[in-house]
Amino acid sequence: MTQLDYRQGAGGTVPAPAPANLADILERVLDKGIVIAGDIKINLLDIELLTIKLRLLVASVDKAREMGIDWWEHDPALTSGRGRDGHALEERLERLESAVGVDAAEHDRERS
Amino acid sequence: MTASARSSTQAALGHYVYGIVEAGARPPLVDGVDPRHPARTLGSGEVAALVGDVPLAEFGEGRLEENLDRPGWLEEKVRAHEAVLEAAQETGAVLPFRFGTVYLNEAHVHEMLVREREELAAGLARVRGKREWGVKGLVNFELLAEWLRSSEPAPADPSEEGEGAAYLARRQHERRAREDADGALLAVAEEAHARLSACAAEAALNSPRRTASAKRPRDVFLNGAYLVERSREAELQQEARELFERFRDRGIHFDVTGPWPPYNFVAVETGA
Repeated sequence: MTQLDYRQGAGGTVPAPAPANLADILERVLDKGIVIAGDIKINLLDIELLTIKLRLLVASVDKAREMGIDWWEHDPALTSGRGRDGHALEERLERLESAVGVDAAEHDRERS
Repeated sequence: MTASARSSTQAALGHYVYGIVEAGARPPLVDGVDPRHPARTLGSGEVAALVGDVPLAEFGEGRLEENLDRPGWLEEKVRAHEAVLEAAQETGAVLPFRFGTVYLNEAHVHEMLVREREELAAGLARVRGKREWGVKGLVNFELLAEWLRSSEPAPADPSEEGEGAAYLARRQHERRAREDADGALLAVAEEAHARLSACAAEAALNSPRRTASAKRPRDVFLNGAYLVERSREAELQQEARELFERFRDRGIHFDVTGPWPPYNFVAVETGA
């Protein structure tokens, strides 16, 4: 998968293939495609949560890796106690977002 | 779980379904979600499932959900899922499954193929010879606001008004600037989507989502997917390039990704 990036280059118009970022892949592989129930069940709410979680992770993961941080492997909010209801989901999201420094203003703008 | 039960679970294999291909298609050679088990096809009539064996210790009931919570694991598997489908698309039509479809035995995969045969065959016909392209429109609101300011008359000189009136005028001006920016973006999104759709057999609009990091705010205002005949792919890219050229001075740009397997152009839910 490549990304044609028109922002690069002196002329700014020559598409330069670059690896598509993880967020683009997740958006398709987790959210789209044929859904036929297999024998192993995955909770749909969890897929939603995962996509958001990974998106947040993607935003911060490069920096974290630079610094040698692998907090997501150890943070109990990320690795256990999977929320099953909307309230738990909200709570987990808030913790995730504050963990990766997404500020409230950005959040509000997205929701409005 | 006892030690012996655990070891038998580890040995047991399930069948992970990547997607649907035409019967007789060659399975791709790239590593799948479990590199020890290359993807193969399980056929039934005109359609075949692209499957790979997976250990139930990793993908079985309960285990799969646990592993979804491990970002490192999930990233690796999601990329493998995508890589297999991309490689398969090189040699023919593909209907991608969403991540995480696992069957406990081959008979169940065959039953699914038989049950969904008509839908799947129609799905393959729909995407044959075409690939999906993604186009995102992104905006830097600060640059857009600057461009809008520079192209409209400046507000009245506040020094001639009282302090309260000046404050209100400023607030009103800010609100109008926000509305102007939203209106301008909507118009750009509509035009861009119409132009890109004209190059495509089918088009889909997804909700714009945040892709920005806190450090570099860029808002997605257009998130389009386009199912394009291979012979028209250059046309779509040219269109995106022209859009970029036209709007770049407004803090707007367009990211093109692809070719993707046609994730956005398969029936989202079929059958049971």
